[in-house]
Amino acid sequence: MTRPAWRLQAVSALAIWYALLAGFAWMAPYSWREQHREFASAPPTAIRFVDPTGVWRMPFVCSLAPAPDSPGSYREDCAVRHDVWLFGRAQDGRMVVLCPEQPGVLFLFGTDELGRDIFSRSLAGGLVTFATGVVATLVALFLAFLGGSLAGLLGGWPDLLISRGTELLMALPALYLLLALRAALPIQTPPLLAFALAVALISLLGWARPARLLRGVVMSSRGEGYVLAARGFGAGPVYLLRKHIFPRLRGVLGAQAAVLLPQFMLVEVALSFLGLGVAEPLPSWGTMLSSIQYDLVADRRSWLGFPAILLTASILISGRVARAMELRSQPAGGAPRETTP
Amino acid sequence: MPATQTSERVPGWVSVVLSRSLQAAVTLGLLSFCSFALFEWIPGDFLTETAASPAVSPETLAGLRDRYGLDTPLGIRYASWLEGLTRGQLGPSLSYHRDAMGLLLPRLGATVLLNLTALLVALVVALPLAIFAAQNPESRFAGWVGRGMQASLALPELVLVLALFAVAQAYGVPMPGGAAAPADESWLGGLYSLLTGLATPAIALAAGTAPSYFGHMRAAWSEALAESYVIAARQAGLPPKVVRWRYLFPAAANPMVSLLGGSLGGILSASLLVETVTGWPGLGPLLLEAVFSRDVYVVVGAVMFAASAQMAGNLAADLVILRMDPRIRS
Repeated sequence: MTRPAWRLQAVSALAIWYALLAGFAWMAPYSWREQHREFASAPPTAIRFVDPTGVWRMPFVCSLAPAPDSPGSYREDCAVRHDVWLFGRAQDGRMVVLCPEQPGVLFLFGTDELGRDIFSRSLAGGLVTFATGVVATLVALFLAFLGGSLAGLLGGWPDLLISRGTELLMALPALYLLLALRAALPIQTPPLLAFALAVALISLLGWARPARLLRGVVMSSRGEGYVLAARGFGAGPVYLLRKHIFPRLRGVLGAQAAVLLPQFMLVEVALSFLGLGVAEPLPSWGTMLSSIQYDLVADRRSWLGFPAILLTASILISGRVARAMELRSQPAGGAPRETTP
Repeated sequence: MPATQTSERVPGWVSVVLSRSLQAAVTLGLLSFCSFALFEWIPGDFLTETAASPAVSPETLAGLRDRYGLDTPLGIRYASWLEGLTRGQLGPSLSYHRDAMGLLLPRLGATVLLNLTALLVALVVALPLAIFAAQNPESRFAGWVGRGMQASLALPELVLVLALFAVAQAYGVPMPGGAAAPADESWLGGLYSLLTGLATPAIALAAGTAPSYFGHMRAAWSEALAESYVIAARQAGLPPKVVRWRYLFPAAANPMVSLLGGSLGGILSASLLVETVTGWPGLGPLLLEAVFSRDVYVVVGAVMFAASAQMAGNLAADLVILRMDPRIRS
């Protein structure tokens, strides 16, 4: 396959996955903060096709009610059926992926201890994690572009400063550094600020590796004939960067974006998991995973693990795309892959 | 040539150790100063929460501030911290009321123990499989192992450790922080509870790194198999064992060791998550606790220790390569 066609395929695989995530989040059965207190910690609702008499029917859910004798458990009454519609309209007129007939409830992944639908929350949480990853990647690449091209073009003391700085950043364990930086900032923050902090911290620590890569490319292209020629005609550094060097950087930038995105998403997940990222009630895959730590086994609420499956699938897809993009974009003997948290 | 003369007088490893130690000292110095400056610059400190409580009088607060030296200028505080460092002190932990060094050292030991165990487990599992896969590329078993490793390469460490933690709990494997261990027990019992507690975090950490070791070792071994000196050795009729351990292994181990050295930062970061989930009493949980309570000296100390551990690991990797690879030694 030719290179552009191949790259298109990789990028569209990613785009489709996250478009599905976003679309489903938009059409989620419930809002991420809607609490169904009467259905706290309910297991996933089964979508059924066969009614108690053994007759095949259109998909339906049975009526769900708290069991009167034991709190926290629920009883299905299949004598009362509620049809489930694919892309049906909810009561408020919204289009919903899987819409149960009123007054039926459908918790595809079950609910958490506050009775919030985990399916809806994992979709919204995925978007939060993804958005953090994307914005942090863009910021980090911008920083890396600035640092790398400054160091590569100017040489001398800016190069020395930036090179030593990136080396210093890379010589330290990332998550420890991240936590130390986080320690200096307020712990309890409003959601938007928490998001901004996460993005800032991740990109501040993540720009070093791409910056070194970009610096190398800028340095090598500085000696190329066409750059020398342009310089001979009196081209300034900004013009050189824009017209002659940036086109060469584009491939590296794209590949680095593909590599950084899953890494940064995982850092966001780790940060939120540790309670230092996005905070309740806003969901993120990290905060959702932190609740399973104790409840999964102790309470036998295995459905709390669903966000982990979505996270793994996302990282798997992004990782595949990233590895392939990186292999394609790098000349033989390029920088080694790094294992990050 | 003067260059060779100096290298004859000073063995290679000495100069490596010296230059790396110097680098590490500069790095740690910069890191500690930046941390101090950062905590100085950011508003609020350990006592901010305390001050918010109406039950605490301003006099008490002032006394506490004075006692912990929270109001002294940055330069003086840093200087006194450095001075304490020469006496083996890392500054007072504000929430534990003792020196951070005494808190952190056992934690560092636990983290190093966990990481070394995990490294050992990962290597023992990954290397033989990788060598087998490289020697028998046609084997169906090797193919399946390769595919499995490839798939698990993308598995996030956090998901991995949560899953293992759940499985271990379901089967009643004791956790390091568990209350199962009786207070008075023989050293044998202590060792047993240490090992059972170590099992889950070590396996989780090893499972996260083994696929990458497998992939790199398989590639390195296959590459080494195609080297002309290996083919020549085989053609000369050397026994396969000799070819394998004297010719192939050093050539393949070299990239492996530098990979190990380079991936230490990632492993330490993964270890933080593993420790937090499983309750292993390493640096990670203590750092996290200190972050929440803004226990500045513990945070700085933990980061310094983690950075030192990573740099020590890098140095060890370099020394091993130096020892193994005659090309670099000369």
